[in-house]
Amino acid sequence: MNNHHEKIAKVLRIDKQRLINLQSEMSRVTGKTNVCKNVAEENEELIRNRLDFLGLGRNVTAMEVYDALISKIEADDIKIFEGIGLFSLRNPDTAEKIVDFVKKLHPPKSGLFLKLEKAEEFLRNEPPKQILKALNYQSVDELLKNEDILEVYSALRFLEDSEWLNKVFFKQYEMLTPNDFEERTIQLRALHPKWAKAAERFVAKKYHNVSHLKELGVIFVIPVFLGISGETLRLVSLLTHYMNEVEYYSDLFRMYSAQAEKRHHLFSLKHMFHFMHKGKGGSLSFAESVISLLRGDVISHRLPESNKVKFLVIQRYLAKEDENDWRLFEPHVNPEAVHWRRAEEEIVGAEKLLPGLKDGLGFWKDLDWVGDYFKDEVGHEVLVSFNLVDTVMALVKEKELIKYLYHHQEALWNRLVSNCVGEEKMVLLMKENMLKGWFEL
Amino acid sequence: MVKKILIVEDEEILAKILLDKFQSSGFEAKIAKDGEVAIPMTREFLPDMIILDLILPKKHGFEVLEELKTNAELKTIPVLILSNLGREEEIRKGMALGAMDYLVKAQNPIKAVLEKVKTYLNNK
Repeated sequence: MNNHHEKIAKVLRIDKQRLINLQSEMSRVTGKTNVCKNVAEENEELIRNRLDFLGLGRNVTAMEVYDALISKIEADDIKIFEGIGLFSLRNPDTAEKIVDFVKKLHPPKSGLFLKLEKAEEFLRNEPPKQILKALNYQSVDELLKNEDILEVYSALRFLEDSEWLNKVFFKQYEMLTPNDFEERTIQLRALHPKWAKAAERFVAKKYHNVSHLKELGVIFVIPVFLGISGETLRLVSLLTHYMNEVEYYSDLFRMYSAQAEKRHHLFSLKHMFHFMHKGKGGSLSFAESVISLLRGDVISHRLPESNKVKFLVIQRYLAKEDENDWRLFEPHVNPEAVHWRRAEEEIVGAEKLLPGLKDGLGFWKDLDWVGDYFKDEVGHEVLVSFNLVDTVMALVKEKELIKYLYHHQEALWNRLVSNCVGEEKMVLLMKENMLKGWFEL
Repeated sequence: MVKKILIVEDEEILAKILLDKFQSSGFEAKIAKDGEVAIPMTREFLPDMIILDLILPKKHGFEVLEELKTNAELKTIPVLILSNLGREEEIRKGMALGAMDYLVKAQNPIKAVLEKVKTYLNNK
């Protein structure tokens, strides 16, 4: 027992003894020892190094660290803004320029996505009333004749009522089969400015102007900007994150498609129909699997106690809705934190594309899981995240005094597991167990 | 003597960048965040030049320009319009109201603004 465990347990808000037990079980299974010690020491080394870079000593207050990180992000945001060649976020070509830059950072790959003719069929079956009204079309045929299907489908997200989407439109997904999917390149695009006015409410509610549709392989920017500090870097981060996320989910669609094909070869047509549409013996059908992924399902029941080390696979940031969700205090891994880690690595790599960024973004390298408690002015300990995304989100929401920590905490869980089994194996375990919602080491 | 620039701009990131560029080039610079504060700040700061955005909260840039140019004390301060509005009639109106120049944001890099200001003030 030592303060390594205490430090990590405190950041994760779990009981120290539980962490000690977890580490000894992980060591027994993987043969890897001193995981907490190594992680805590590396955390300390990185913090000292970065504080030194910021011109701060180790005994600074939480507010001094936080302010220095925010100032660093502000400076990097300006560098990236200028590096991309932006003048004003309100210029009509701003979204396009940022999208082009992200495509250089992360060239779009091919993936398995819903066929466009299937998407059109869904729209014809269940006409999207708000989209038709916003663009003043009388019918879906007229809409599809004049508009890009990817843009129309994207607009479902920000124009249509979520109850209608979930209860009516997405109900059609219950009959999806692998044949409804095809290989094509992920689309990252800035939507036409005509959608901006219609999307204002969505942007205000979601606090940012970007979203994606995993099943369609499309990531889109609504050309609405606030013109504030941190906005460019946040958008670049979000887009790079979504590129990684959409690829990850496409791999899962491929996996479920291959499983469905395998069943097709193994069973008669009669059986196949049963499997494809209803599932059997606890396994989900292709359609059910896709729907579960798109819903972002997370296990809802506690796992029975046993001697084996079990980790939940939590594919959402539960802390966004409830920072005391019981699942956050269970051993777990989080695929979102993997997408963010990869996005951050790519953003750090922007220095190669933009020479003016030299010695700028490299600061954030490998800090996704790094953070610590610092004392505030009255001596209370306050957790400060060094995670790039937590910091840039906090900057954009600075006026509302909202501080972010959960990207860091979830990345720390991943760090503990990847230090035991390796990142590649951890991601494989996540993918193989997304639907089940947990795995054993 | 240090030349003074008033930046009338509500886009926070752009205002910050311009402020930083002018200050690091040896100017004394201040930001007015909306059209309403632009005139009182001009009176108080008495800048050598004003960089004026047009689409501003509370008061449009053309109104600010009109007020400046009809004010006996302030009318000689040169105004450079820096706007997203780039139609011919808008440029014509800005110049007719007395702007010394008009730059369209989408058509110029930030350094062009700095160069324009430096050249004008050095030749003055």
